[in-house]
Amino acid sequence: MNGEWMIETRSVSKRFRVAGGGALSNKTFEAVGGISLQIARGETFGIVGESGCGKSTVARLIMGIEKPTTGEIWFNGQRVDDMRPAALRKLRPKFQMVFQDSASSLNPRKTIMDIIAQPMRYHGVARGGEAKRRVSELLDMVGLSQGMAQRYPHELSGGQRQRVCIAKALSLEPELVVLDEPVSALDVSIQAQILNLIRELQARLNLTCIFIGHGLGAVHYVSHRIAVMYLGRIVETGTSDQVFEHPAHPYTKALLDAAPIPDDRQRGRRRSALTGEVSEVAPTGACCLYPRCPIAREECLAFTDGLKPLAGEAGHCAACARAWEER
Amino acid sequence: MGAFFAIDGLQISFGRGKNAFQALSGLDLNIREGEILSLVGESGCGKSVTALSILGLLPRQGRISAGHILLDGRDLCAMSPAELDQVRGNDISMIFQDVMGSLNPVLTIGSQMIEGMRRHLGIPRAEAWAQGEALLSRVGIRDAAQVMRKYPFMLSGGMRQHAMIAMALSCKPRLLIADEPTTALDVTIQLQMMELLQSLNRETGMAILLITHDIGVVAELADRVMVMYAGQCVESGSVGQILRHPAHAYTRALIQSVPGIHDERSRVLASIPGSVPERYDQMSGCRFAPRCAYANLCPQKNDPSFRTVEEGHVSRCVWADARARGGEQT
Repeated sequence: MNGEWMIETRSVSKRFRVAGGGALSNKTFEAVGGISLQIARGETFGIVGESGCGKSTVARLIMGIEKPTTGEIWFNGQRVDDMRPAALRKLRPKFQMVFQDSASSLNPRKTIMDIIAQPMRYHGVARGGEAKRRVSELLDMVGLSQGMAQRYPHELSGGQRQRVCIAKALSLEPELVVLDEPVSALDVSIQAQILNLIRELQARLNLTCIFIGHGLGAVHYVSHRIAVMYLGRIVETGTSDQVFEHPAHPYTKALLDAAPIPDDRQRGRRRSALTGEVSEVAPTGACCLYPRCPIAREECLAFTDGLKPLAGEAGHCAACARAWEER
Repeated sequence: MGAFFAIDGLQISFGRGKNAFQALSGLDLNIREGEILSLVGESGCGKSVTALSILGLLPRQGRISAGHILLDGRDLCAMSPAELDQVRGNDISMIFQDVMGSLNPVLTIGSQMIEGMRRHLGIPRAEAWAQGEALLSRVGIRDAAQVMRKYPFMLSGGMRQHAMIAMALSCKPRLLIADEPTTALDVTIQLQMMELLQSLNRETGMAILLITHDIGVVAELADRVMVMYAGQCVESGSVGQILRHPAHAYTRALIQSVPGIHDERSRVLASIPGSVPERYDQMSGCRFAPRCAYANLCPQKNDPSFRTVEEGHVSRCVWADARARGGEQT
């Protein structure tokens, strides 16, 4: 057993019952299919992919909000996916989550002070004056003025609310913070503030973070390592620079090429594009990208190998037979 | 080619009396045939109210308090509702960010598609249906005949977006207003959307007023750019002038606050401190000054009038003077 990983998922799959199939229907949809990933202490691990690729489901599985259909999830050398609720509750303070929609994740009837202090009260970490002192410390840490403590969420701007969410997540001194699209709803200039805050806090507190996003630039900016997901599978993983500078998987390449570049001279550059839509599901046993892949060939119809390391690049893996040949 | 569409000193206010809020404080713009003009800025800068006011779609509390909106010299603000109906969906049409909210859920795509053609062009139903089908194919929808008979909920997000564009095109508008057309989309779908808008612009010569907050989308599509901040245009010029030689402190900060996918990871993003002031209409002097890194040193923050940087490039910032004098920016 490898003891150095903080989070490890082993072939984790999650199937959901398809709604509308009728009470007796067994129709299921595989949101996540056999994902194995390892996250080390003190790193920010980015997960990118388009809507519906399963990135949020992975986060929810790791947080214990969903139970995997098959596979195991390990946290600090302890298996957590089959824990009883009471045992999991004891572990809860160690992992916290920040959501995209800050407005709906803060109780509108409570002051910022109460919101940030609540997790500490619930878990009996701090009360009364001690909790107040800790809240003021946290406000400071996320760059909010002390006066904010007495306000209500609706009196704050989107950026300020997201800072409150981060302060709340940090109130229990967690080991792992999962950030699910934390900047997607924010304006560009505010996004930069929050991204800088996340990067700074991660380094200062030596946090382990999972950063989920569809904005490629933002994920690149905060993450040390990255996994690219497509249709419930990880298609490529490596350090941020490996994946962004030397993408190996055709999906990663298309995703990076599709991102607009803020330079009008780069207009009309050659791009590797996918055909069709995400909804095109590959035949059973084939590579998940098969129907849309520009370099697909017959062997790709029987592709069961999954992620494999690329020659000569430590830690850089891709799930594509053609990528293995090319390197 | 000359401008066929112009906005002249447009002011938009919400509410009345003491609490009236001026959301847009005097905007001038003009669009030439076949041009893509982009209004770029963050939420609350006034770009969406500008778009809505053009088609008379401002919410009830809002009104145009001064200025003119001119199509071929005719003032849209002075038109009767019946006259405006002739322009809307015909000469000028619009696509919105919220696709589901702009399609009628209980009508098929086909019946929504032919509505404009029958009304504005007086085409018989069968002919309009055939044209609608052709338009759906044109925007890249496969088996258009089937899609015509489907309801919006039966389509994927990307397909809906394409169907909405096809509807907006049905009367061959000369100007398409696209309000955040790519914002809610995934990057690969966003790319398809940008390519579609670009090819429609090239092939039909339709002008586009592109409203977005995304500098990347601007770089891919726009010919000219107007940067909006707090109810004003603060800088305008060609896409190259604005992106490569920005002459306003806000434009520079906006460009630098976007994390690029090929940036060095060690780079620290330049963020703009604070947020847009709430009552910006009551500010005097430069509206960006409270957030500007150079405001303390700025000799002209009390006089944010437009200065010419070079031909076709103006800015409300002291950087404009520095650039115009040939001084290299730091």
